[in-house]
Amino acid sequence: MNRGILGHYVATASLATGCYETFDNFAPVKPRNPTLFEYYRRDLARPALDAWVIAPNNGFNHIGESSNPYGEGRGATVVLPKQLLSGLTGKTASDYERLLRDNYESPVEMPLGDSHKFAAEELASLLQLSVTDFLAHAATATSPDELSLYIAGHVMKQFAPSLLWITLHDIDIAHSGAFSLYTEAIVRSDRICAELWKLIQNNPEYKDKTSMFILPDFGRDGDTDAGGNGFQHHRTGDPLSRTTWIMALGSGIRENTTVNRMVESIDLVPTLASLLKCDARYAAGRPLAEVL
Amino acid sequence: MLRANDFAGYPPKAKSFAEEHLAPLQALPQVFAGLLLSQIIQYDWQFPAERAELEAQMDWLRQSGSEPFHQVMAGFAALPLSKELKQFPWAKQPAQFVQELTAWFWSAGAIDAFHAAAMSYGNVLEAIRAKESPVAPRLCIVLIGQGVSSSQLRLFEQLKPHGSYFSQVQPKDGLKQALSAIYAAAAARPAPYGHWYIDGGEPDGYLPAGEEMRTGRVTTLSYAALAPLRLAVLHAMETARTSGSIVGPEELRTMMMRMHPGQIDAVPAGDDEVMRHFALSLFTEGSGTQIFSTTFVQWAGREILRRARPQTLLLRYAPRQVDRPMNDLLRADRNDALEVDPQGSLVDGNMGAYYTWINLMRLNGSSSARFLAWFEGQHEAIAIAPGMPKGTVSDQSCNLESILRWMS
Repeated sequence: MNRGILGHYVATASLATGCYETFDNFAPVKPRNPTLFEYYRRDLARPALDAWVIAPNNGFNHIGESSNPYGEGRGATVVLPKQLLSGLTGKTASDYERLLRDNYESPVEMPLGDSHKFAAEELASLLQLSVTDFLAHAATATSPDELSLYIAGHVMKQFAPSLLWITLHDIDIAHSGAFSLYTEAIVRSDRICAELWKLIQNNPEYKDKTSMFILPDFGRDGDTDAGGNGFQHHRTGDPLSRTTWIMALGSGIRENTTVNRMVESIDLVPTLASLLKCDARYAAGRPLAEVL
Repeated sequence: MLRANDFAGYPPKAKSFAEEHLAPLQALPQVFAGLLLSQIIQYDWQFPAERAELEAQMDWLRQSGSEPFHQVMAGFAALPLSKELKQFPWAKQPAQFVQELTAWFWSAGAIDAFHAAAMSYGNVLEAIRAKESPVAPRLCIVLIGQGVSSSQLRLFEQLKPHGSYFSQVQPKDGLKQALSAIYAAAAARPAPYGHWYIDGGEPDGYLPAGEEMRTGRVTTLSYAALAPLRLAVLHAMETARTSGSIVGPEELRTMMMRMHPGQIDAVPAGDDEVMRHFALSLFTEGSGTQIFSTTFVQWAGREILRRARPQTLLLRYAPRQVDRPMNDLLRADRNDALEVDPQGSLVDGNMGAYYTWINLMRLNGSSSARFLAWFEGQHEAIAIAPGMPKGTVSDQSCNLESILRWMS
């Protein structure tokens, strides 16, 4: 159950802080409460390259670190693959437009702001990413989420971070109203999650000692709610738009088990903090005992 | 305190209506009054059914001393308002007020309370609507899958429990038979905006015998005919997106809400201001209608049922363009002679048919309403009507004309 604001950025920020954030979904602001990345890096004195966020577009560029002084300077390393691609391709970006598209809901993006501009080459260098290889892969990828998967695999191989957060966003095509494209995106996301699990199990740094949590940020409007238009949006705040699921798999987590009690989206951070041995002291949710 | 001067900037009929009902409006909580005024300010371009319902609402709202009134309004009165919203010129700019209000409710954690209050008033509206019966059972026909010769998709799965599924429909002249049903109803019970035909492509030019001289009985809109308007809206979106004049999606939404037929040459010409506004609203208020014809048909059907509450409605889906980069889709100069996706459009139409039935069921007289969806040019159809047994399958050879006859 998500009892917060049903906008993608603010809801994802709430997932990352364990508190229902209340800022304008489209505003370029940081979450108010400390993120999981800050709890983890501060409590365990971990370096920046041990916590990563791979996010879909400009709207998510503040997701890695809050404005709360608790974790100042201890946020995650954030990669926006589309921005990286755009920065590396420059005038040839039109060759990759299928990957650079933004979602239909917000065709006009908020500006990044000067403090978040960075040189694509610098990030590519940090990632030890061959620009040629990256562009060659991008040329065959069919969606922005597939590009995120590629970057995730690269980050795992190069840095093997203990904490990796990936936000998939292809499903947002639902706002265009085409049900076929929406369901195609769902199938693609499902496949990408499976690919991620394969990456985990094929990497000795992760195999059999990694937990993976998969969850939507929230649901979608119910078909019968007169205030909405079914699958197309998440505006009504009706029970279906607030109700979703969470899947946990990995080392020590029971397989083929379904838990039917109601839990909240903000329970994620305390649960992950418990697994990572840090203290999400300002998070409002509760640890999920079933996976600990 | 609400004053008549607050309506000075309203269109003429809306101004008169608001002035005439000033006393009951003054008795309402600010949130509810703002919501109601956002409807009233549209009065000049509303359909007859909407105007009649506004009158009926005002009749109910005059009972400000009654217990039901207090119970419903208490939910709205208890909603928190920010200082900014209290000072907002809400009566002069009700649409902007409602937009700000919704955002505030989300951020203040009051959206669930707002939803509950709205549901409470929704029950009042339902009772108001139930007092009026349609002059005849409504008829809604949805044609999907144009351009698809075969499909493995299991169609009408959500609809089958509610009606009879036909697997041996003879497709010959199916479209003509559907159009004939609409024209026959329009001839028997003519009513302004009472009969509609929406086409996701080029409208079929078929007119039943004798109809040539009686144009206007069936209100027709098509994606093809509205292309200049659609592209003009896309162009405005593109200009806003690239010029930097708009920052963020909320400003874009506000800009589109303020678009007016007088600003756009491509709005269909004519004296019918109601239709000019309605056509524009399909592209400024609909999400995705500017780029996908399937979304346009579904949204148009939803809005016609919600607003015009017609006696008959024919929705015909056509293949939409293939998916492309969003930046490309949103460019007006890249929306011509496009490759289409018939199979994807069949999936869109199948879901759209289900949503259309849901929207039909929200209207008064739903228990007697008749609904027919057909895989155009193929053999599958679903019929939902009082006389059609639910959850049944018929392998009997038939055509649309016979199904329509059985439904009536």
